[in-house]
Amino acid sequence: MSVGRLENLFKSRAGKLLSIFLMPGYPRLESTVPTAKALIEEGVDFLEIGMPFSDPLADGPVIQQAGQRSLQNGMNLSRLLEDVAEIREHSEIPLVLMGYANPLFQYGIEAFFARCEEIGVDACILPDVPLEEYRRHFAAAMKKHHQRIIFLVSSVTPLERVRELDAESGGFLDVVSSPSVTGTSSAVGQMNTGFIREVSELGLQNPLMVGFGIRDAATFSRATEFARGGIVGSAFLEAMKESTGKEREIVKTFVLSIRNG
Amino acid sequence: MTSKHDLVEGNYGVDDEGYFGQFGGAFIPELLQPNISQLQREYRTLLEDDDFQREFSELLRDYVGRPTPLTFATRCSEELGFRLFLKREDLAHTGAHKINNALGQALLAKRLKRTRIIAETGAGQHGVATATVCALLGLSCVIYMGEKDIERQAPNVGRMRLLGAEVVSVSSGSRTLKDATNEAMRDWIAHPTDTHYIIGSVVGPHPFPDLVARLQSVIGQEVRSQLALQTSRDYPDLVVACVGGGSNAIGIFGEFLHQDKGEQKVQLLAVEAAGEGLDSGKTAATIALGRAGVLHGSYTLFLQNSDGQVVEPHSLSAGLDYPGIGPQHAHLFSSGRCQFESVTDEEAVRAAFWLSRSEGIIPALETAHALAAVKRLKGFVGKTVVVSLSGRGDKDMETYLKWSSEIDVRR
Repeated sequence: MSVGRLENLFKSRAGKLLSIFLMPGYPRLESTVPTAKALIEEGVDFLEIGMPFSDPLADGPVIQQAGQRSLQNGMNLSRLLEDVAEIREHSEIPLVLMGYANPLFQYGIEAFFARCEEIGVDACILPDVPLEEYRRHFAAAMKKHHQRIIFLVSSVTPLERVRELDAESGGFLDVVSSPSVTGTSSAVGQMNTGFIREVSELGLQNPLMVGFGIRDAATFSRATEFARGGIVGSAFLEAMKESTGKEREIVKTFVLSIRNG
Repeated sequence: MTSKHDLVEGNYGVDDEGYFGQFGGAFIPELLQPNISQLQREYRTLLEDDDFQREFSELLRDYVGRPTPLTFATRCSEELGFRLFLKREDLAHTGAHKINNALGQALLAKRLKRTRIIAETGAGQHGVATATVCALLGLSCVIYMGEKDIERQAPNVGRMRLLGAEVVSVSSGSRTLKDATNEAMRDWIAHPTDTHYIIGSVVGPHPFPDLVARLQSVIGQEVRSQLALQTSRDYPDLVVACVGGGSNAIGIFGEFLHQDKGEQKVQLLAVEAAGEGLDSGKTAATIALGRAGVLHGSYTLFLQNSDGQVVEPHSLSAGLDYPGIGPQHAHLFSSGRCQFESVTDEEAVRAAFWLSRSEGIIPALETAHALAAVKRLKGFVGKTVVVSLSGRGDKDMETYLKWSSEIDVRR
């Protein structure tokens, strides 16, 4: 696979990387592009862009509700990919899509990844697609269209499997800091930095980004002690709830609160 | 690799990758992978273990009350012109076939050293069965149930609590069975080491569809030996069962799956809930209207819109009010082995009244769908038909009473 935006970012950027997860169509259908532009403006290192699904079984209440709101607002996968294309025209920031398998099956696996390549998506996180189903249904189309798959590993993942997931992943590995769904209090409270350290010492090919449990400067710095950076999802969506028309200010305040405390 | 199971079930069983034809698989978050892969590796060995078999069959006999009778429906048979037998799962402890699976999985959970059981429930039947076996075996029990279902199934909520289970109200999404299932999965993700999730039907990621089918296979096995004693041969011409997720149907079909051609062919008819009608927008007819995709961990058929968002189903019967169907059923449909029909709310209620007055058996609303399909069968004169009487109707009395004043049931 050719060297891409994600690889360049991890190579060139010193310090801890910050990625933000945004839900397109949330809080309003038109929020996607202004929110993304504001995040880019504030120097976020890359964006994770959710693809809403009616039954998000790995997500806690905040992301569930944001996804539901987005769908109620009329968001769908075609519209979402148009928004992503617009973000790409505006910036060369790495873009990672994150979403459940079913909408992709309905769009058509081949058609979906062809479109991702066309509009400049770098990688996908598919939270209900484990390695085995990835190989069966997704690997061929993703490789053909130069899309990286990013797997999640958690403290319950055997280290042997961590190596296997690393070997298939491109860009980075998404480390889940505790066995929990996104954005729950236990995810914040029980961050297992020991596990992150253990994984960081395996000599993996991919850098580590810590996925769940970050909501402020303190949790960001704790989570990223043994990782290249962190991804903030639920806490950001909460902050964006009433953001319409004020995306720039809210995003600025939020990003500062993570970066500087 | 060929196991005894594969030889028996030909192409209709699960393959080594967890698929039934193109359906099935295990679409699960990586956080569930250690649990699921342990189950995948160990479930057959555990189920075939002598000690497990002994304990399971003793409890099925002494606690559940198996074998359940195979009742010849005299008056219905006279009216219909064929011999109709009722497999009486309504007489199993807790009033439905659900207990077979709940008991088997709870015994499995003990062997996997799990001390905490979680389950989802819609109408409450699977929840009651799970709470029951947890009380029996001393396991702690948490039942996830949609807020809406808690409102409309109050007696079962009371039963579960009386049995010592914690009932958690699910307020996410559509606040019904599909969201209760999501919430149970989320719980399992957060409790990876001490908890086993007893899925209530032949749905979910591999190995659940095959695991639950095996635990329910006792239904069809009993039918075979009972027919041998009560008729001149050990198989019927047709087996009929209702399907939501499809566990009672697989349970009674499994034994006859391989009799798929020639003189000894056993026809299989699965009956899904049309709700207010196939084109009403208020239906649970998955096979008739669903498309293939990933729901609750498996690739199967379910009701969804063109963007791949799950569509909320409707059926008067809470047990059939599920947007999907087990992957093995999707395969039995696409391979042509099993026929599928649908029955509306009203047809089901009429069939429930019909059986009540003809045979003195009040069936569950779910079961009534199968009976409605039996009533309209053509071309079976002189033949033998077995219907799975999957549950009893006590829980549906409110609905039946309401309808009996609204429709002329004798028409």
